[in-house]
Amino acid sequence: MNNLFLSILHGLILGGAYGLIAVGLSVIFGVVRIINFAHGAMLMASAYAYYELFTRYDVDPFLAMIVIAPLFFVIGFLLQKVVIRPLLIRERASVLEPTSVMLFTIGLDYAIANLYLMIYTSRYKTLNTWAYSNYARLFDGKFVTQYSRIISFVLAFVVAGILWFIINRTELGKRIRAVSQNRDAAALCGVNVHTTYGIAFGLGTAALAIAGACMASFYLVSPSVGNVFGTKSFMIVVLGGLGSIPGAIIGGLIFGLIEQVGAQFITSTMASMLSFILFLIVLVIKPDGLLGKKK
Amino acid sequence: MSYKGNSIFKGKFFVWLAALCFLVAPLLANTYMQSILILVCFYAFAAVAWNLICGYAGTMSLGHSVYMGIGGYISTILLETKGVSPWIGMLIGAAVAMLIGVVISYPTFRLKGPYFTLASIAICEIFGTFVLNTENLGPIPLKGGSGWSLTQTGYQAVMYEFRSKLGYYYVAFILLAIGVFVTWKMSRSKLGYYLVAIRSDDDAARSLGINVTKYKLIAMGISCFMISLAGTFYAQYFRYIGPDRIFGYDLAVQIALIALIGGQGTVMGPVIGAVVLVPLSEYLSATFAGTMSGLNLFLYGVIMMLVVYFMPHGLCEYVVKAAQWIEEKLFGAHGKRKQSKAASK
Repeated sequence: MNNLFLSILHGLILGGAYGLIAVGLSVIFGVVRIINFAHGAMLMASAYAYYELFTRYDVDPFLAMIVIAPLFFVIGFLLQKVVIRPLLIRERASVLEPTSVMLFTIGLDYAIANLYLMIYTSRYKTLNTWAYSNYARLFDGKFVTQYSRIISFVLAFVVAGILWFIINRTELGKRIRAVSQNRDAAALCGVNVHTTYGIAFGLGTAALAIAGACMASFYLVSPSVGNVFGTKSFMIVVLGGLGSIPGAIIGGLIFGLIEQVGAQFITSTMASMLSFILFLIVLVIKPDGLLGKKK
Repeated sequence: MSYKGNSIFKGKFFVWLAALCFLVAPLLANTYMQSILILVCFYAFAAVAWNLICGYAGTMSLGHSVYMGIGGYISTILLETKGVSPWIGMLIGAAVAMLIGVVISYPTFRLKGPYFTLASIAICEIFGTFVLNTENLGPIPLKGGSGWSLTQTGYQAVMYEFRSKLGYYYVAFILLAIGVFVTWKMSRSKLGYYLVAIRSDDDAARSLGINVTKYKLIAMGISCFMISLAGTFYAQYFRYIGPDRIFGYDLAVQIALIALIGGQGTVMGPVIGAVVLVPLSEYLSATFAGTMSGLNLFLYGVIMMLVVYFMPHGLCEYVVKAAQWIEEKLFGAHGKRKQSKAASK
């Protein structure tokens, strides 16, 4: 068992977590057609919610998820329904500022990130949960990784599967798909467009909250994590094809692989640079991403 | 009210008035106020450069500070290794930044809307990571994460080092004045009209025979040239340049937010944005230093959201309107009389 094989395994495990973080963003873009730049900040906010619950009430993030994920669904739903909806409506009325929602989410991202910096300062925090401090030993003890990483890897596929099932196999999903294909036609058929948008947004943020539980239990919690993972998840989602759920997971796996396998040959920060370069190349050659559909 | 045609807050007069204020203000201020004024000019100039391409052509770049970093690094390295005066290094850096900007933008300008924004973030990230992890690029020392602390040259103006803050202030002011002048000239030229057409609908612009890529690249080149001058100023004024801040996401977003809040696609918008935001954020970070470190940037975000909601065209429009309203209250009767005389003729 050589180092290369081990690094591939590590890459896949990390990539699963990346995919999980990115999948919510992909759902939101696929339906509402906006890139939520506050994605990273919301991930960070959810991580702090888990931090508070763990340090105060000793609740494991993977358990607290059951409460936090629905809470984030409501937050996402309201954000779309109350705050973003008027902007979307106004945008249709005039062609002058087609970027207002994007600008709004950039402002929101900056505000949330710095609000948490204000409250919690920039000090790093770690959650010493069971899954954080216990290691799984596989392949005769050669492959050592935190249990939380393995749980994240499994959860990535579970969450992506659930989202895929909701969108492709349920009545609600039919409405979501109808709205994402043609919102005027969907409205004519009696679909409430903005409620559907809200639900899609809520699903995205709920998935993000689950990703937050994973991140909090294998990485650090600090106000800057939003930036680190947010930027990466934009790249991952575009790489896989904006709006494609399997694309987000595959994009995440590719990013994880490049970083871990690349770290065998060059420094790990240089390897993450490599993944950004790959992103740029894919973007220029095939802007729809690896699994994206032509518009 | 046709009176507004004569208002001093409109057109050229407004710009001259602003320039006069900027010229006199530092003479009346103490050192602390002067340092804030320097920052106002610096950020205003960076935002003006950003606005030239991103505001006018509507290509939202959130990585424009990368060209600032390139300019600052080149002039600093030339100064420290070869002893080249930053005044010359500044122009070399700007030329290189312009070249890199045009070469990078050629493929990325094909991307639309958010895709371009993401690409700009990635480019900034790539350069930042590269500089952070590279001690030497061939024969050229980059000094990696530690950055460059500039050696003292003994306050020689030819080496871009001044004894008092006033020297730096007037350099920044002249840069800003040039920036505003270039923007004003451009907004009235064919290039400016083309860019506005491209922002509204680039397919329509293309179908009318406008070479979209060419004009965007020209504007990008000018913008990169200007913002890299700001990079040299940054290095000389702070006497330090390192990858964390200048290639970081925060600075890039801050520049964009100043221009966006002030009013993108307007000549004076970025300046007004800087005049409002920079003193506010400096005051807050000085008052709450150590206790609430994110407060100033938090306000940037909140103000941005409010501006998107309530003033989609930026603060600029409202500041001018408010100033005109005050003017009308003060001198209204006089102005109206003039107006009616002119009308009777």
